[in-house]
Amino acid sequence: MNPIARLATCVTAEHAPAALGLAVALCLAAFLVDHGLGHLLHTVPHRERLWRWARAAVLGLGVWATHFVSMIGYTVATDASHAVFHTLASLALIIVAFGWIKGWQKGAHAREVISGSHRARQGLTAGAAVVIMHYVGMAGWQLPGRVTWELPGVAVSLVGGLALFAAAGRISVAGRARHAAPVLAAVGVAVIHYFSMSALVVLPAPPPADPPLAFTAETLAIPIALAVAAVLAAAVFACWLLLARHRQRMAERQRLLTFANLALEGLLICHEGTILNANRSVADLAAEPEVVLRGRAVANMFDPPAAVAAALEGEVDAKLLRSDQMRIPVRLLAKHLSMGGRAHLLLAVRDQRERLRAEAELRAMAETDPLTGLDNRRAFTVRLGEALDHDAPAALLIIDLDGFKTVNDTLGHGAGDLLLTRAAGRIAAVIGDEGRLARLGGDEFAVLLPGKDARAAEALAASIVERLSYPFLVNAQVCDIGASVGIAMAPENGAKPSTLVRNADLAMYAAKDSGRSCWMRFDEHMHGRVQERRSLELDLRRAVARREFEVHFQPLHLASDGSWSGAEALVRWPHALRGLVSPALFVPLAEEIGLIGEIGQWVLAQAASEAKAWPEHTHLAVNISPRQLADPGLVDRVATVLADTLLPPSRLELEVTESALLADEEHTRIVLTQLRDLGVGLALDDFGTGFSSLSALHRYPFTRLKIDRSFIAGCTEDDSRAGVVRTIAVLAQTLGMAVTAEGIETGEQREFVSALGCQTLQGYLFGRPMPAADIRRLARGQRRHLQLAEGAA
Amino acid sequence: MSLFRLIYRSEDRLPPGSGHVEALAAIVEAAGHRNRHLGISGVLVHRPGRFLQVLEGPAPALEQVFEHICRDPRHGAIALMEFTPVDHARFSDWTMVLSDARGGQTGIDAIDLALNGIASKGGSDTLIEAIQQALVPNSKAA
Repeated sequence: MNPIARLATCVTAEHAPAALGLAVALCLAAFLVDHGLGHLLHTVPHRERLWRWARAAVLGLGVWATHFVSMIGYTVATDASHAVFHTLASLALIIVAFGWIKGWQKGAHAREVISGSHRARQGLTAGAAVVIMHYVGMAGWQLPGRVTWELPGVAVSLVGGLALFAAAGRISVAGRARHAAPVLAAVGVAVIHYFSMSALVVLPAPPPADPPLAFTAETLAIPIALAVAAVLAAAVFACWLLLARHRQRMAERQRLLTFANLALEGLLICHEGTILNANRSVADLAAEPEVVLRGRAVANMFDPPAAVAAALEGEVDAKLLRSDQMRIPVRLLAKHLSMGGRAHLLLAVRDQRERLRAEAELRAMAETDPLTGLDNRRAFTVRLGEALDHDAPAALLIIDLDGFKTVNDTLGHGAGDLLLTRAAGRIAAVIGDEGRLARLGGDEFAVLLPGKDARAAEALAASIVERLSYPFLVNAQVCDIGASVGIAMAPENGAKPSTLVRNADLAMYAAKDSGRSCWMRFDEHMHGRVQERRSLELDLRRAVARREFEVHFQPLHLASDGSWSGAEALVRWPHALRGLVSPALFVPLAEEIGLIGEIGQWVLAQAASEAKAWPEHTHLAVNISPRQLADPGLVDRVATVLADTLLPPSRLELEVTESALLADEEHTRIVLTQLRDLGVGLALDDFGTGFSSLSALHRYPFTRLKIDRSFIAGCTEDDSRAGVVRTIAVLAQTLGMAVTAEGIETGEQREFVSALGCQTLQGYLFGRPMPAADIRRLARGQRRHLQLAEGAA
Repeated sequence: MSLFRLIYRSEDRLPPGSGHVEALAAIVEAAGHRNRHLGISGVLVHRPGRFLQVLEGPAPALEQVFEHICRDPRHGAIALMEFTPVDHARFSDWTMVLSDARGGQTGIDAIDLALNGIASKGGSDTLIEAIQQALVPNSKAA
């Protein structure tokens, strides 16, 4: 008879069904309770040793009770009894064995690696313990007869039982299958027991002579009942623990979700790579309901998927992939989080769209000129650097508007801004998409023309100059401006942006110097001119420090009788190598580099001490530059010179050009009034060349007008010029001012301007500027002449 | 809003050749459309190689049109001859009309003088009368 058929007979015919059912249920209950406890205890801190032995006791009692309930239900030998020693020894053995084996588990845990084979070995050992318990129990089985075993049944019992236990151990490592482990183990116990029982053969034999102390079926029921109670108690306890645990976990999850929904940041709670919960923000971000997100693999929501793991190390930028194919830029930050005793991943998802938009806007703002919307200097420098990076040919145009300041000053900033915008529009229309236009600041523009040769650049520059020379209509006014353009070619005029820009600037200034409204290409001589200017500047500084100047005097004569009436002081710079340097060259330079004040002061002091020696009716005229006029210390300095030289203030006349009046009208008016209060005369120089009108003169305390030489030259031939001179002279007289005519070269001019009403004359006809010694001689002659006249009288 | 008159002359920089007449017609059509929109009336006179245009309307609209013309590569050497407030429009019936007829006149007229930068005696009134005379046969033909 094969073992399976034998088993069937054994189970159905040789066991009481109630006992069999109870036994199997008990066994299954014991393993399930143990499994449940193990699962629960895994998630909470507990006293490991105590709980290990408690679980070993419950499981051992269960397995042990299974065996003896079955034996009581074994109907083949109803009058059998169980030796007390073997019964108790088998119980002790199984409890100790389980406790010991579970201890291995603990050791493995400590190393954090629980391999499948380790668990299988544990299972196998537990199975072996069950087998030993079974046969120890059987050894204590007292019945009238001799017990023998059929080998096939025993073999199936051993192999099948141990295999089931090994398998139970193997699958208990991880995954859902681990929950099947207690069932497998319980089946293993049943296989061991019932195959073994089916292999049992009882042969008639006399009872033993000296029967050991034994339990009858009735007395054995007491320890079995206790064992069942213990298993049930443990089961109830495990259920209670499980419920409490579940409630706590739910509460924590709910609390976290409440918090999470308050957060603006997107939050995902994940476990083992799966989304358990998503807050509202992240659901909004993903444009899907929170419920839909649950259960998804979190890594698949992001590009790159590895960003989620990387977010544990620190903030990571990634894209959130939406089902509508949109990719939302996000920043991820992940944290491990223990919740309900289980390890979770909390993933914060921060929307970066607003920040990126703001950054882009800021970048655009930082690179754009707000008035014209063109690139600003910063953006242009970057672009130029990029264009020159590849050594590719390019042309750079620097465009500076001529006469823009006047428009800004006269029509106001609003009109100025409108004009700048329109000028930018005209340049943009000329270059089209052949280049890139930028506003470098003020009225300066730049055009980068990548890949253009010099001819093309010149053609565009000419076109820009032409278009900007057309009038601008602003606020119903006509504004004529113009533009000077400098061209520099890369790489021949500079491979570096700074060099190229400087050279284009030089070319632009050269264009301005050569009469404006034109373009110039850079050439190396421009550097030479700059060098020359720099060297002149150095020499000038040295000359100021060493007082290397001289004061010359150009005589002034009365129109009425031609007598000498004074002189205008003029500065001269005799240079050891350059010879006599023209004031037209060094005075503007001194003005520009801020040395004019010092030179002017020196000239005033020198001239005043010289003029002290002249006859008392003569006067001294000294030029004051716009820069000096703007200096708040001027009035004090003039007063000091007068005090030091003892020159009467009435003999000093300070000359101011029209352009000096343009700067700061109110300040100029105050300074001139203070000078006048000192008793000093004030002359308006070069009248007619600037912008001021006669009607504006009454606002300033001028005592004299000097009509510019350009009016005098040719006034004998040109009626309109003569008319202008006459008008000036008449108006000056009505304003109580004296008039000096400059640049008198011929006797005819002298007669003419004298007839027009000019009182004082100056020009080569009377004398060129001369050194102090010569004017002294003139003074002595005058004195002698006066003395002679007095003597004659 | 007060009425302004703007007169300028310029060089014709249209590419020479067979398409010239069509190009001129296109300019007049586009300009007419724009001028209606801006409330501007005016006339464009064309003589070989040169344009002369009279525009009448509110100052801001004239500024806008003039700025547009200054950027137009088909015009070169633009010279503004007049930009001044006026009492009434002289070409109010025309949003834009092209005239290159001589109105039966021969020899040099005020338009020729103006195109060469010379003001006639009587100023822009003489010029406008000359243009109006030149327009008459055109309008009759139409």
